[in-house]
Amino acid sequence: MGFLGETDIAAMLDDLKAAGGGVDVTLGATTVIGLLDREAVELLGGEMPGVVSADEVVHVASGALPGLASGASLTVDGTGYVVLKVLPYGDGAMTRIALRKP
Amino acid sequence: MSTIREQIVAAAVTALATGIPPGVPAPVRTRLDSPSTDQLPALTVYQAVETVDAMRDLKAGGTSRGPIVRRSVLLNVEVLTKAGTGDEPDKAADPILAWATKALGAAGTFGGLANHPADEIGTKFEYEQAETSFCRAKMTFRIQYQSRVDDAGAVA
Repeated sequence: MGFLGETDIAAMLDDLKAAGGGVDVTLGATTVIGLLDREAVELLGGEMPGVVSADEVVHVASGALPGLASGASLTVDGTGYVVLKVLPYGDGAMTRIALRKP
Repeated sequence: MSTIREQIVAAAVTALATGIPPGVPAPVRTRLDSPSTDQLPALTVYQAVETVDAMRDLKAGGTSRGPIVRRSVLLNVEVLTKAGTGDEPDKAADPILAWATKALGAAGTFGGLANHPADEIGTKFEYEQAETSFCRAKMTFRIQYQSRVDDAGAVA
């Protein structure tokens, strides 16, 4: 068996969705499978405790969502978001999309 | 017995809590817990720094001092806000900051505890982005008062 490569990403995301780990990510007329991460973060802490907010990020295959850019409206697992940042990572085959509520 | 400083901070919180206009949150004295997003806006009052001037007699070589010390406490009024519909987070903080200026200005000398009304020193704005945009606006007020050198709870 060879190493997994970029061409295997779609199949891996399909498998993850089948296992309940992937979500639908829709931009315009295009829907792909992504991985949603939601982490509580403390922001603006200083002398007083900061705000506890949610840091929400969805991972998709790079290039899978034409028109993906900061400010675009995105639906992730049925919830509407606005794209905060588009951040390719690793070898660039996957992209992390930072989300905010509209 | 509490210090004059503590009495001033308590009086400042009372001033900020009295006659609050709609949309301005009740002040919290020295917040212990992190507010969640749905608890914003939040208003916190706490003391930052106090300096003390011993008022030594320099003409006498600085060796003698009077029975009174001059004190200056910096009071922070911190406003945490999030972006709302059509409102940037700093814009959402604006009416709360305006209230703080008004309320502490109207408090005068805090019932005679301070030498004069609080001086507003300035406001620092900081921003963060997560599920929405957040702003922390920290106003600083300087309040000068005096006490006996050997008793921080005795008005001099």
